[in-house]
Amino acid sequence: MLIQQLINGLVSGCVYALVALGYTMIFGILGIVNFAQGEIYMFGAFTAVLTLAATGNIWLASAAGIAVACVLGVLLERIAFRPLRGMHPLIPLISAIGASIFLSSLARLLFGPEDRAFPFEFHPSSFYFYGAQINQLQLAIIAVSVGLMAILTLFLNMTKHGKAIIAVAMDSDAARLSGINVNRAYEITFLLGSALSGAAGIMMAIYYNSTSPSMGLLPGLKGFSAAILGGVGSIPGAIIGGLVLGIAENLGAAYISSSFKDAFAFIALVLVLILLPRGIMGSRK
Amino acid sequence: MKKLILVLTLAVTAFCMSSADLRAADEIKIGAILRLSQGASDGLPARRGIEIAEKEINAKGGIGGKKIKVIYEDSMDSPQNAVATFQKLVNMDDVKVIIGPMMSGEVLAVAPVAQQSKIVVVTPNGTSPKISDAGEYIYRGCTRIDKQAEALTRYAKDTLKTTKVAILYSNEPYGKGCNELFTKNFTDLGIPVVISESFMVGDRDFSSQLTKIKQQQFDLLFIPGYLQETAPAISQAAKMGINGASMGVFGDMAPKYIELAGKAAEGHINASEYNEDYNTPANKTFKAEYNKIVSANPDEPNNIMFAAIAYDMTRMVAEAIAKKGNEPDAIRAYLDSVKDFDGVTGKLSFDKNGDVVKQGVYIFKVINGKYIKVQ
Repeated sequence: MLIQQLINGLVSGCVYALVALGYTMIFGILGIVNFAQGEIYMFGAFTAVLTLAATGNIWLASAAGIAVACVLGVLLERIAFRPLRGMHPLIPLISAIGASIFLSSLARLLFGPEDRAFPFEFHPSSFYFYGAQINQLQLAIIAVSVGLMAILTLFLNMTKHGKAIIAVAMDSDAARLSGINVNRAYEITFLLGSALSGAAGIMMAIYYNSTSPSMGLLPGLKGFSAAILGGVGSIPGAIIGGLVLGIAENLGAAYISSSFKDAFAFIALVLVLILLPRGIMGSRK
Repeated sequence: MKKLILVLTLAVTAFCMSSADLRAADEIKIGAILRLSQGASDGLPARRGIEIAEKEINAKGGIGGKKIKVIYEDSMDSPQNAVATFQKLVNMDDVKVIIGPMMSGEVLAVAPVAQQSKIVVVTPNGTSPKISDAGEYIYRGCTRIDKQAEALTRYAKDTLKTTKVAILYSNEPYGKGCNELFTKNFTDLGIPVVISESFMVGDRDFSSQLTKIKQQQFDLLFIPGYLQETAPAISQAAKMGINGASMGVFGDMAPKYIELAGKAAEGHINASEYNEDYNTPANKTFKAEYNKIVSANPDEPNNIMFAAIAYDMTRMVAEAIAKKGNEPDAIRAYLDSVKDFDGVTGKLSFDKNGDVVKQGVYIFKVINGKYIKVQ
């Protein structure tokens, strides 16, 4: 059962990690927390579900879902954050909460308050691994998540735009003086973070066979916790934070009590913050 | 100048108030507190049921020449909010009777306030046994959960030949209550509950609980809760290879459940309050009206059972006002004395606790993607 619970934790941990990456990148570069991350996750899922229902093409649907998530992220940066740049950090925070409430209400209006099933059901075949059952869908989620994380890391370290983002995160004034388009870097950060959240939303809509306007709430909160757990601003930290959170809550639910499943995630968060106030991979300045 | 403005304002206010009174005089207001945002999959059908009753009554000329007008409020699935909307309906709209709220927790929060202000509250769906003792102004239109539990556990023993049961319940008052009640009933029938796990409202990942459940030997999986969680839970259980018989409570009794659970819904056993094939003229008209609404609004949540109960309760309340007058105690006098009211959910009366008395509980099973009545 231990291996099975670790696999369960790994699957949900991958999703938390993807959402956490969005939080951590945006925090790293702008110093703000984008609380609308969970809503972007939900919009990605809904767009994919609606496109799939209309066209029947899963690849097109996934692409559309991620595209809408990206557009939403960039719009959010333009409308909710750019005008507030340089103000007290509480102000963009309130703006982010406002954007989150606006988007979830918008989704309720556009898509209705109800849960929707994914347009077609997957019947993944599963195989056994040391007595634990793992199905193709779980494997695909882990593979896609790892792939996306690898692409992100390569993008940040190998490309011009990626390096620009790192430079802006280190010192935006110095970056601007050396000729980096800072606004472009912000936009790309939002675009990447939103794409990851959108992808996570789509995978979960398939995995749980359910999409609803409030589906982003809990993953958003967990992703945020994962980002803090790993050390805000740190990319490997967000990934580790997500996995630790996912595994902690599954093991807690399995060996202690499932009534407190969500509590275990947050207990892990509190413990890490007491022992390592900057998070697992946080910089120790 | 200031005085003039004051006088004008007062005059305008007085005029507005008197015209409001005039308008109010030709209609009879009834309040409704429903689940219109959170839980709208149950609340919107209930609203449609009330609307059908309202339209029918007003088409026949209303009550004593006055049209009835139902004022809807959203409980937002919160007891506090249910009380706030109750206060609004009673103090601002001056209603004497309220249909709703729909969840037991909300009904129990509203009950003391209703008792104090002497307003009749008729809940269509609150199933908690505690509602029976909530006071003489509180009525309910569905069977208590313990009666449903009796019928379902008896069916499990006699028909499904269940020997061991696993429970995965929703960790809120409704699911927890069901867990305790059904555990007791199953144990009394000699069926041991081998494992009992819980999940939170809003959860979509049940894998750690299901992994634990899968370790056990059992032949029935019972999942009490609301369909937003119970349907994905059964679908995940099937993906993990738990394919035995399953049972739920009446929140699952909706096309949405089958849609969300997919193939895993097949064979699911459920208790229900309403039988679409109930053969009376009233039910045929109601069913035709409801189906008309469903085909005109294909995107709207559709659940004829919740519509049927709300429809019956609205008609009984209207009948009470017609026979005895629009005062809380007059409405109570009718509801306490009515015998075999010709409702679409059966021949209805109320017992001394204000609980509906009818033919008993139906049991339905999902066969080929449809709920079929098996008992």
